[in-house]
Amino acid sequence: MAQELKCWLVAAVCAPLMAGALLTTPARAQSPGDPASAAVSKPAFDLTGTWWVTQPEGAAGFKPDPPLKPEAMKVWQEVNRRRAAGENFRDKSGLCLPEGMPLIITRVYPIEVHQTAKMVTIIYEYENNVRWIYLDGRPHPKPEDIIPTYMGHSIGHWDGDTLVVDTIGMNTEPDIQPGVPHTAKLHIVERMRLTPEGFVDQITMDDPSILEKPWVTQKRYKKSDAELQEYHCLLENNHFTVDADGVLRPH
Amino acid sequence: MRFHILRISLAATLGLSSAAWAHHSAAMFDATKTNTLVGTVTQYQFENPHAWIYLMVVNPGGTQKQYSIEMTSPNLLQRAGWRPATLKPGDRVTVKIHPLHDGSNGGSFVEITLPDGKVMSQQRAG
Repeated sequence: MAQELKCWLVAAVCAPLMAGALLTTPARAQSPGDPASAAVSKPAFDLTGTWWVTQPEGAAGFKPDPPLKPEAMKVWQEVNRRRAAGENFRDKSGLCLPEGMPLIITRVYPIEVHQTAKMVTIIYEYENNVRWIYLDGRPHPKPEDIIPTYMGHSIGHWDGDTLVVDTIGMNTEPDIQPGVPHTAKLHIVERMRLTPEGFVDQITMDDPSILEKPWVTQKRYKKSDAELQEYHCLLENNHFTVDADGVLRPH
Repeated sequence: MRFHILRISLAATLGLSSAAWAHHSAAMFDATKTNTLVGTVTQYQFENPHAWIYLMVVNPGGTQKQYSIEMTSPNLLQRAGWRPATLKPGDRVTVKIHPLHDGSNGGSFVEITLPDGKVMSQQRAG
């Protein structure tokens, strides 16, 4: 884990480290002459299908509460205080802004997963978001080449019965959850496992600017027979505006 | 005088919070209170990110108030049996809502009794 947590710092060093970890897996598909395929390993499971995040871990945020540094804690406490007082304070989702990673994970809508040897694609019904997780052994872009995106850049590899997904490069506009901002240093490592009940995504978030220590959370998904449908959050259909004090109000 | 408002306060006992259904925070709604409104549908908007019911309620004194009632998204509603034609203007219905904290005429949808007596929530079947 410590090795993975340092990956965002040294992407160039990280790839060989991950490749080293993969040597312990019994079977790997390799195409000689294709460096990117060198790290493709045998998948432990296939997540292809439709899933639905379960309650109560799924709604609007992550549990347990984040281990915030004092300055960040003040922001979060202010948001909690104002929301407890009945104000939709600091509510960017309510203005149809994209959630991005990791907030998208907390939306209680179905997701559709398509898995191949080199890619896991997750389609989120919620606002038609898509996430691409590359399993072909590529490293993250060099820090100077990263273009911040809502979903960030995700690479994955198999660690025995676990799919390990490493994400960096998330833009800083959305909060991790309302009231928990992050910096460009946010680094997320997910460990996905298939269980008889569904699949479990253990999510470890680190951002030394905000967090005292890595924030370890979890979401569980169950198989669903839902068929995904289009969902656009259209501002002209949205009956809310944000006032000068940052409070979302119906109109 | 045909319509009236019953105000009933009770603890929210639904399995899912409105936070789970909304694209925005549910802080503006008082989930500890459920008010029952009896009135006539003036508009039913079945569109993302949220469906809305506009309900004209006549108070005992004869004055009219229109309530704006927010539902979850059509995506989730259709999985709970809702359709674009489930309601039409003129329908007389009974609607339970979690009211807005600020006391204005609106709330978060909880449950409806349709003109034919059928009761519908936003709970997804299964």
